[in-house]
Amino acid sequence: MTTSTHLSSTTPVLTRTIRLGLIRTRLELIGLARAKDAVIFTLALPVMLLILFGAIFSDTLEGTSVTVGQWFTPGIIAASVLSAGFVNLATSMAIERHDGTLRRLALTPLPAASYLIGKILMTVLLAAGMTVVLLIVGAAAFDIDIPTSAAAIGTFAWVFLLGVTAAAVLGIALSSLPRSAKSAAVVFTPPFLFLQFISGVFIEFSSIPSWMRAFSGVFPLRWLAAGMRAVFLPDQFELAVEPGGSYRLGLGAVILTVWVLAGFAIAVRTFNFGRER
Amino acid sequence: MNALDHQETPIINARDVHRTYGSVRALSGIELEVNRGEIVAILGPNGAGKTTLVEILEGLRRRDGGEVSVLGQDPERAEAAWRARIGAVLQLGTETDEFTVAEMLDAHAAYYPHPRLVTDIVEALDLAGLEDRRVRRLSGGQRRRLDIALGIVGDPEVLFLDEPTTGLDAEVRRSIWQLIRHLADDGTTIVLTTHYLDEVEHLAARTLVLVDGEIVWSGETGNLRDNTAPTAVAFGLRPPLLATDLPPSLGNCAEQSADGRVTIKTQDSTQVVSDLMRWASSVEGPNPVTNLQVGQPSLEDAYLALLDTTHAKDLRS
Repeated sequence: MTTSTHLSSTTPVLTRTIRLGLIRTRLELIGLARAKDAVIFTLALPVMLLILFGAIFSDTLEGTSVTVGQWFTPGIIAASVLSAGFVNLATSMAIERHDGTLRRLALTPLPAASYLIGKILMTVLLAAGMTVVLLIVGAAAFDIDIPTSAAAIGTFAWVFLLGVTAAAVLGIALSSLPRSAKSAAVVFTPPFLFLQFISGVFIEFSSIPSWMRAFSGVFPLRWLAAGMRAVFLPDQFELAVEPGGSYRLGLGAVILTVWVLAGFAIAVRTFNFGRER
Repeated sequence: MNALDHQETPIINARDVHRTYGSVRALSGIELEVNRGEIVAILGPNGAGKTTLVEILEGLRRRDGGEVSVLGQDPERAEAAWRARIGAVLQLGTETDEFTVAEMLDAHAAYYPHPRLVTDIVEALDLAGLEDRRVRRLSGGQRRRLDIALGIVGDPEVLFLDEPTTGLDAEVRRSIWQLIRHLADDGTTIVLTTHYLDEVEHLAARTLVLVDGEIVWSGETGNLRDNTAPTAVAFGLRPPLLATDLPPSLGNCAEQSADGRVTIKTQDSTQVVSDLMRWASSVEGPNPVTNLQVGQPSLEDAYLALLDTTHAKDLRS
């Protein structure tokens, strides 16, 4: 990048906000790429879980030909997409609230929306990377079918994009919770584990109590997981195993969309780099 | 508004600014006026309210009362266009460690509508050749110069400088002071917060001393020394004379150090020297007073004397 990328004051606000958002995204990705240990462990954890689950439970789910490894692959992809926003983004923003990054930015004319765009795009790219790695492992170790039909690819696209954006805005909302940079790394793990248990990632969704299933429907992970199962598991699974014989993806799309729109609107209105207003 | 009024409109104008945190009074009745191209120092012990005051001027914090105008706008309600006209030199934390000098400067330049050229900034701050170095690998002086580069890359009209030379060696400090004076000469209005009195002395025409959230002294920096600190009159005495041999008007406030040198601290050095000379001529034999020096008080002495006075007042009240 050279100094010629600066934007003059006559550039329309929206263009300027988006271009600065892309400059922020580049900076976020550079920061991410240079925190190599963090990236490696972020990727290694779901891969390890996937391999462990698939290796320990070698049988198939009752009434289907789906093995545990195959069943777990879409679930762990959904959890990884959520963790990119919920754990990674929320932690990075929580740290930036305390380490001086936000104070520095608060004194510049950088629009809050550009900063948020940078965070969200970083999250989307991180989640995409994790998904690719997990699909490679799933295909190699558990014969997961990578779908080629337009319908399945379309479902994957909207589930992924809505899911990762919802996870990102959830992460932005929660980033103000930790009271210090040190605590940021541990604050988000318990709720993340909780959501994974009630949303059908670790435990087959139909065997969870119905009130817990209803509660999980408020949060993005359940719909992300159901959507990923719809893409990567055979149709017979939905009929034989899912509660009511349906993933209820229409409802999922609505709930994820509400998360994304409400979350981004609230974030842009309330996030101001920590200035007292 | 006529031309004269315009010229005299202060860039920073704070009137009766108050701020409390819970029941703790952080600032009370602060008055501050800074004109274009002026360097004003805010001096005070830790916890005096310096940071709160600067953050109110920067638009990061609310005030509970009073009026503040910076560049003609209330910082509390200011928008991005106003922030494009201010700059702040903060101390780099670890958050920037993994980025290179050029990455930090390019990104910050992009945030501003009319930035300075990064190549010019790099040149001016002697960072040439370090563009591709990670911030983590910079020396203390290089980091501080990058702090300043980030503060001025947006070509601000008002610059807030927080401890600009903390932890730097004498040579680097001098070069940074020179740079700051250049900025002020070019019309940048500068608010400096610091613990270093020599820094205040070198840079700030006017100083404001803040203690417990109140201004205890403000005025031209040179007057801080004149108004509050005693002058030291120091001399040797020909043996076997001792400080106790001096007449009471001098001896009562004289201190004799181990090497025999006598120091008298006074607000009226002329009177002390004249008394001393009268006494010396009354002593038989050669002049008993040797190596007489009348020292200018250090600004540090002046500042400490001021803090002592304030503290004593607090104890009485």
